[in-house]
Amino acid sequence: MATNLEFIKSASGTSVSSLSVTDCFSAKYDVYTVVGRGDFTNTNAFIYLRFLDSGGSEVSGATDYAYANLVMESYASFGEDRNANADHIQRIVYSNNGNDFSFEINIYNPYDSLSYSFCQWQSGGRSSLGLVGMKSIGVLKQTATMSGIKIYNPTFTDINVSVYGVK
Amino acid sequence: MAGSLIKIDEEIVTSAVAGVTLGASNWDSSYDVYMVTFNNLGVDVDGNSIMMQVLASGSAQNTANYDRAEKILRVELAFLNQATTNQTSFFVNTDLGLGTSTSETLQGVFYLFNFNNASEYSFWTKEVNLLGSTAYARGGMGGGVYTVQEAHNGLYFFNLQGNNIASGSRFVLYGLKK
Repeated sequence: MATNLEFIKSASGTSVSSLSVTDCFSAKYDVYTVVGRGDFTNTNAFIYLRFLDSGGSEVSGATDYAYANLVMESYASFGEDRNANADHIQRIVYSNNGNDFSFEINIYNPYDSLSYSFCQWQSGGRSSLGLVGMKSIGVLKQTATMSGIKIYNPTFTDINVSVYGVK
Repeated sequence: MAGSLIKIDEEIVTSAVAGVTLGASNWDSSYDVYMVTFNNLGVDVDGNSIMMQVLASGSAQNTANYDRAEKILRVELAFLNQATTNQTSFFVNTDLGLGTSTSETLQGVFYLFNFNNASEYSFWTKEVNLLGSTAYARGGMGGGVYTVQEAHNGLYFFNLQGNNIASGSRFVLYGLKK
């Protein structure tokens, strides 16, 4: 029996400061699931995300993005992190040097030139104090076709990201 | 390896309608867990909300047995906790109605549990991301339950204010293979 969760592509890197997954969006799907894992060398750092436009360039206008993160720390009260006008989406993960992290992102309508690109994600990492979970939403406020994503900010010891289409 | 996420039903609104039924005669009762995805879910009047009811034998259930609890993530304001009990339907959007300007729509995923079990309540999780009528983004993270012990075979979506669900709205129902 055919599946309706279809692997599209994966990307990986070692000792890199960013990882782009290019040409992973198409007219074939409206909904995508992105899963990733890895670790990095920075102390208590965020992972950021930007979309790549149809030419593969980063979308990075000062007010292009909005996001809201519920920050769930095992060692403190839960926190909020939000921004209605940003040049990136932040806190895909919050983690620390040498601690593994993992995430799952659902992305909606990235290839639809008439719609904004929406995403929601959940992730787990470990800061220097303990576990940090994220439950979050973000939006790219551009009606344009997106072709991929870039994940960046810390220096990744290793990172592996896979993209699936939900048909 | 055979696929494990199986599409059961899909509804794409091609002209504005009062309600959308997902499942019903297309329901396949061979799964324990179902997934529903939404994208471009919209309304035809600014500020309207979309509600959901479960189906029993294909009929939408409107008794006062819907409970909801969720955390609402807001990009411009402090987050909210929202909880309701004994309502006649379940909120698909959040504290903010949808709009009619560019991309003021809802996207998200529900997982459905116990729908085929007549001895248990039907539960669902909710994860949605929307752009509301004020053009600010919202997240809704939580879930709901219909507190009647009966089997259910789908979902019915409608506009709370009695207007329509907009053209372009897409609903897909999947089964997660055992």
